[in-house]
Amino acid sequence: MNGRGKALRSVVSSELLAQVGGLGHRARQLAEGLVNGQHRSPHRGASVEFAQHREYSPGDEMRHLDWKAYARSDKYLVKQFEDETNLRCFLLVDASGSMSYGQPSKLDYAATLAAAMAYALLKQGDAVGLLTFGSSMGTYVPPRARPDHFWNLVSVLEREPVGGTTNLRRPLEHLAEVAGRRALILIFSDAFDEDEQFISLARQLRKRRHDVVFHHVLHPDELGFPFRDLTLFEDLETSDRELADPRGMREAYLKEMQGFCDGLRSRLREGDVGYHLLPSDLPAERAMRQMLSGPGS
Amino acid sequence: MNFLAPAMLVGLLAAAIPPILHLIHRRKANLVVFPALTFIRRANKKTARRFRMRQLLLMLCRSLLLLALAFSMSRPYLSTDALDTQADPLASGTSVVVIDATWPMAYVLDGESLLDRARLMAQRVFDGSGSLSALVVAGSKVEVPMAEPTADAAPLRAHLDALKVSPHLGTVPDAVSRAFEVISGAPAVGRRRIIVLTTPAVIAAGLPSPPAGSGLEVVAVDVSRGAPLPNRAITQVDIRPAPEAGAGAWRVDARVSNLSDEPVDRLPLSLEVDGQIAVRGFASLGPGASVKKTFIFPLKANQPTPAAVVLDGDALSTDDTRAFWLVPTPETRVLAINGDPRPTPQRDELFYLERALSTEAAGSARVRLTIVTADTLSRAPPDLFERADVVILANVSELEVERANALVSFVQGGGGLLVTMGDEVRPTLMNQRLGAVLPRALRETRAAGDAAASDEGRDRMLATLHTFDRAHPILRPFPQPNRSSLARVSVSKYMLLDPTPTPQGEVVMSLDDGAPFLLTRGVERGRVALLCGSIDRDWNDLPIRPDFVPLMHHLLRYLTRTSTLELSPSLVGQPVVIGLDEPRVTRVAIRAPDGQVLFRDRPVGDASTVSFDETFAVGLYTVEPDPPLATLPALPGFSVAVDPSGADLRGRRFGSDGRPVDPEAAQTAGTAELLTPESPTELWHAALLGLFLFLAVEAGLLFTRRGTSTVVTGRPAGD
Repeated sequence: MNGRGKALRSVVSSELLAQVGGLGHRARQLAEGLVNGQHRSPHRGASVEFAQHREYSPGDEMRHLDWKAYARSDKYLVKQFEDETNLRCFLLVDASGSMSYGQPSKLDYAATLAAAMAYALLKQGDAVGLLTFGSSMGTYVPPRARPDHFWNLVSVLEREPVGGTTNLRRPLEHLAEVAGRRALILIFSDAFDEDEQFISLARQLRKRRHDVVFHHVLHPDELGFPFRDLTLFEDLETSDRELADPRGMREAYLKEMQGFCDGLRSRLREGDVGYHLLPSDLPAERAMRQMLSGPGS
Repeated sequence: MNFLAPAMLVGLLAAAIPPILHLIHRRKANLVVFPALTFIRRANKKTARRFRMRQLLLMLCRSLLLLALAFSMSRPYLSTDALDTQADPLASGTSVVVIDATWPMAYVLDGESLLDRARLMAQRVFDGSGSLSALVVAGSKVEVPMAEPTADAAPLRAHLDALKVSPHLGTVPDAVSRAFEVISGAPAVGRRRIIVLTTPAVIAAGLPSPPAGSGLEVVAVDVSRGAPLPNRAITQVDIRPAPEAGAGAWRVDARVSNLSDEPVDRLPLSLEVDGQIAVRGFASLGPGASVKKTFIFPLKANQPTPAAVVLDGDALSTDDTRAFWLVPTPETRVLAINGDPRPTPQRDELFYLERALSTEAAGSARVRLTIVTADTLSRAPPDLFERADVVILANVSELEVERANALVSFVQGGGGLLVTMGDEVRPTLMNQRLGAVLPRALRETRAAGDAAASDEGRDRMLATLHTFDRAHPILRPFPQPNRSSLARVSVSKYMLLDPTPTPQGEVVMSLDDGAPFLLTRGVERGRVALLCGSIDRDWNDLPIRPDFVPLMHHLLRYLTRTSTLELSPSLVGQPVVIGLDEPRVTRVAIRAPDGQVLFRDRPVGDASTVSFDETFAVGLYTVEPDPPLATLPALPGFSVAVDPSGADLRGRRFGSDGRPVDPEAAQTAGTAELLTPESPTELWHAALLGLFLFLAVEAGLLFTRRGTSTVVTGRPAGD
């Protein structure tokens, strides 16, 4: 188990940790224990495409009879569908320097959730791909529907190096090129990207009938700002420094952070992009339920 | 502006502490690696200016707070320099300040001594521009630092600063007289006045008047400005041995006075021996009343031990302690005259008494017994009795007239006499010789029992001790004498006494037939005890009873002559007589409480005392032979105390109608003229007010820094 795997111990319940070892096991356990029987692909009907006709034989479902073909050929023909690899899901995981904050880090938390989601999708036959990014493109794993593809994803998530500034625009541009037909795009990031063009890119993806959900992963320190004494803050990504009196500026900081989260949420929602705020101290089970409950508020 | 404690101004440097701390604190800011620095920058940009301003204000506030603290501790005051000197009557002419530096000026009023107040007033006079000034100090003696009045105040102020309270008393009138001489030499220009800075008591006692026609004016200034000066003091201490209280016991009588107009309830006072509190006590006193408190303390040490009576502290601490020496009490010297010596020890008259007073039986009691037979008494030296504290006449038939007279004089001079009976006693002769000191006249020997007693009914021929005076000091150690072995004493014979309409002394024990058995009587300074039985077994079995030993010891203690040891403190300035009984000591070294060592030689001739008159310090003095003699026990020291007549500072004077005169009204005209500009305006109150203000501002700044804020929301419901 690598360092990130160890750090994840505090995220998932202790019973779960007793049964699993690595990120893959944890994610699988998380998905099976909590998601089995609940997950329904929102694209099941739309993604099932017609393959061919065959003659009706007793036992076939009546609803699959093609009445139009019967009218044309006077034969009972049954529509046959391709029921595999209809849904493709892309997991975009932010591996920039800012995601390494905390113990466990925000990236650990995001990786656990992404892996759990991948397991759940693969189990029902959907194809899952992965794209990590920092200041530039990271590792891209094309979507596959094979069950053992899960371990490919886990392997990448466990070994992905952390660093660089957050740049959401480039992975989304890349995704716009490779996504092709309709897909589910799940983004895990803290969104500390000064270039806000990624929002319009996400909205464009949505216009292309992709389902885009943004998972905003933030550490409790970023949300509550618990510092008190005079502090010299150093940026994780740029190493810039700023001397500040936390007690004097806490209120202003919290306003800024609240405005940032609210602004991001509203702008994404305007483009029909889902949004979930996920504090990294939120238990993973509850985070999974929140993610599966819908596009978010 | 002047300062009462200018040294405290050093504390102003503390104002630099907050900026220094700020800089150090800034350097030591915690380093935190944080991802959301963008938001911190944005928030900091909005609040930084306000934060810096608040920090600056906080730092400034803290610096001012420390400044105000140091400023108030230096006790600033506005001197009268700012007053219009033209209107100041002291601005021209000649002024001689007589400052009282005797021990009552150590009284602390409102946090400063009366001497400090007088010092301030004197400085005010010296600082008056255009005036000539002189200073006369009434301390242990009258001192004049500058022979003539001068316009240069610096040396006078320097002398004022070095002024200390002296333990002496009563030098102010002499100082005023000396001031007349000083001012008479000055040019007769402007007003010429003598300003006396002292207590209301000295003013009320009266000051010398200036020579007629001299044009001098005497301004007596009560430095307390009429404030009440309540004081409690130990005004007298008497120390004497108390053998009746046990071996080595001392009795300390301390007189405590409440020199105020208010009653005092349960005022704590204690006897301290060798630095430890030995006995505690309380005294309740009405206004102006005094009470005597008695302490009994058995001294175990074999050498002089320092002791003191200590009163709970008040504004004048000098008279709250009286120190003295406690020395081992001298041994009781007993001279026993045996009127019936026998070759067989058990049949000797003093056989049982000797055993009772032996070292084994006496324990810690220090008794030295000397035995002389009645037959050899005529050959004994004439001062035989003077070498004893107690004389016992044990079954003595008669005394020579000279011896009897010497014995009567011995008793009258403070000696003790115990007369015991026996077959040898001849009542008529005894009454003739010692009738002046005996409690009752002796009548005849009587056998116990009634007339019907026979040899067969022998028990009916014995009398027993029946009545006891339990309040008598001799029987005080016996809690229940009628249950002790004394009540089982069988008396076969006793001396019947003559009845008298005017009985002398007290009956301590009586027989069951009512006849007195033991009587005591005080004769001038001495005491006499008459035992109507024998101290051997001829007449009774008292000597073989267990309580015979304590009875004899307490009887001897009761009879012991009061010691003439003088341990009570002398007064400052009064001579002390040091006894030199040891002929080998030719010179003594006297160490004063302040560490000074003085030497005195034995006067030429047969003098056994040395007079020492340099008693200028209060406390305990030690006396040692010089050179030291190894075999000589430590010499008793002496102690010196302040004159208690100065303890009453109220200055109450009584008018012709018997009512007290207001001391302020008794001051000489012109006092108020001096007092009004003299009163300095102290500023430390304002400085303290500023300090509190800065504290409030700092608290407000700290409170606003905390503010109120909430955590960013947006978590899922139920979280």
